[in-house]
Amino acid sequence: MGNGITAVEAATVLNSLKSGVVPRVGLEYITVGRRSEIQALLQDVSIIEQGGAAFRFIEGKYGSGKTFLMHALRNHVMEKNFIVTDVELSVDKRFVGNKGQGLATYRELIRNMATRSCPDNGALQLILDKWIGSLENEVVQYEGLVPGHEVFDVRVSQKIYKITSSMEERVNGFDFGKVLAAYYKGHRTGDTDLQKRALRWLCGEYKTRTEAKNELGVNLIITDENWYDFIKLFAVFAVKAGYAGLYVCMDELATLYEIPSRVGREYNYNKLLSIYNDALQGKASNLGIIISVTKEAMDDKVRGVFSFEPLRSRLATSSIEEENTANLQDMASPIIRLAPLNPGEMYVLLEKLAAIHSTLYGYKSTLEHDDYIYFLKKQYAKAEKDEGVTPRDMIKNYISLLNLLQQNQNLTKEEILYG
Amino acid sequence: MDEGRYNIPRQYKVDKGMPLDALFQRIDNPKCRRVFEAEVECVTWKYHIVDKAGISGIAELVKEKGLSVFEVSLKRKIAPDLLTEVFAGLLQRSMVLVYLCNGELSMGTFIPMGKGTTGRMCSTDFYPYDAGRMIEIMDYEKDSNRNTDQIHKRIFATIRQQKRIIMIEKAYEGLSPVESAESEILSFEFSLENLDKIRADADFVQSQLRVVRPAGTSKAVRDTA
Repeated sequence: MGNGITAVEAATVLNSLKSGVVPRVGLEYITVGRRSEIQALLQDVSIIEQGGAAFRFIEGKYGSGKTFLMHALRNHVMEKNFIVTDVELSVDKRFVGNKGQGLATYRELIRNMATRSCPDNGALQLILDKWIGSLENEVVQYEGLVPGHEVFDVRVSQKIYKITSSMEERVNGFDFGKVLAAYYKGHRTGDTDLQKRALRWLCGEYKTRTEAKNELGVNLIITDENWYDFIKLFAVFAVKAGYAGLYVCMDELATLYEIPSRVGREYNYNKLLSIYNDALQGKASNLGIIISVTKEAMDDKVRGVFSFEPLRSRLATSSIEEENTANLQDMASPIIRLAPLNPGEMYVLLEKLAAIHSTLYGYKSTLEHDDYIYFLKKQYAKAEKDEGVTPRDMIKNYISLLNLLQQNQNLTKEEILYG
Repeated sequence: MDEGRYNIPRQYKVDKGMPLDALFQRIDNPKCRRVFEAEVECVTWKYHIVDKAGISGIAELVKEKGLSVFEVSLKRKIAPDLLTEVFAGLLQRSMVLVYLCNGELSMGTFIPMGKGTTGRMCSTDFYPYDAGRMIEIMDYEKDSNRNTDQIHKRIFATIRQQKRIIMIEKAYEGLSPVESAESEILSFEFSLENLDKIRADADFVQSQLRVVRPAGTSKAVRDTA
């Protein structure tokens, strides 16, 4: 296609936006504005690649583009050889909870792991197989041994155990390494059951220690309390397996704000605090975490993140920033506040969508400068009257308009847009 | 130009208008009857333009094939598209209709396309009398060498254009008034200079988000439909 987007990507972008959801692909073609925000997040990516960790909140109103920005970053880092994963927090997926909600979050994160070669989630097994395969290749390439040679397995095993034992010094690393080794053992001996058991353990599906001890010989299981340690271990392992790191996207932090009990909220905010501290104090490596949150869920002093004093004192805007009259934002701060796209940016977004639509359906768009302006003025007027109209709604309306224009070419655009 | 084709207003104007009763007898469709009964005050056959020169009387004129211009006075505003459809179904001839109501006017036209087809219709919404926007039914300069069909097509195109303009004007009128400060911001936002800057920024961001893969790791052949 003329603008470089493929037909499949174009269809996905338009269908997703029409349905009010953020597309998974093709986001770079419709990214408008957000230059400084993206620069800041790309700077984080560079730090993570070099062995550091990063933690960011993306704050904005509903429909302001938080998820969009997260997905754009997700796609970018995936192309940069990161393992990426995401979770949408909800009533049953939180940081911690008395019904295993923390573990549910972990399971979702593991299930949603994706890589460049497996972009549609479920990449864990592929990551492990690729890791073993690359070590086998190393033995073939650099030691001249071929599979089947009596020393081949020994050399690969040595490499595997060298890596797994290097993880032992980390919290829970001993058992994590042991399970990785078990997975390799299953691979080497053709014991697929053993491999499945190892995968089950890594996915946090063992319910009791006894079961894990009997089936894998490990004394530990992944629980609500320790799941984040394993995310950090996965980040370390990602690098050892040949990836640039692990990038975690968490959407809808507002879910925590909606927890009815104060104690429940505080437990969750406490866990969030420890994740935040780990990332910024250098306890985690090759790990990026990005969390979307609404302004209300962040700032509310009764139920929001700022109701938890240790987080508020860390995250609150500095007085210098607050006092500046030019609305400047420190992009190095942990919270990136998304301002709504301004009318000019919306205009360019409409242009881009029209171009994608017309190339996908093979027609020439008749929309002109004045038409975009009229559409936007009408939408802004609606938004002013009814606060429920968000940029998401505007884009949905616009794609409906494009569809109508394309499907009714016997009518003039004036009849459809102005009539 | 043959002056004889254009002398109808002076010489053959149907002064008393076409009696509504006569038209009313010919209306079969109950919906059309209702519209006529309730909404139309008066229909006047204003002009009839023909290609034949030297017509001597009104009886001969109205029998001749040509372009008729009707003026329709309405009791209250109803959709000009509907009215044009009603008149087209009723009279089945090339015509231009001028609808008048409460100091506003609207214009419609109908080009028959032969039996069994609906023909082409177009009409503007109502707009206040405005000399700048009057559609010339007879434009001596433009129409000097044209026949009635060509003149009708010219009128059709003008009405269609007018329809768009009026539609856009009315749409803007429907928007809530913008305060001057806000208007200033919007005019800056939509200025070509600002839009160019935003486009350049978007291109930059797009280039930043794209990752150039090392050779040999490109995706499978992309669908470049």
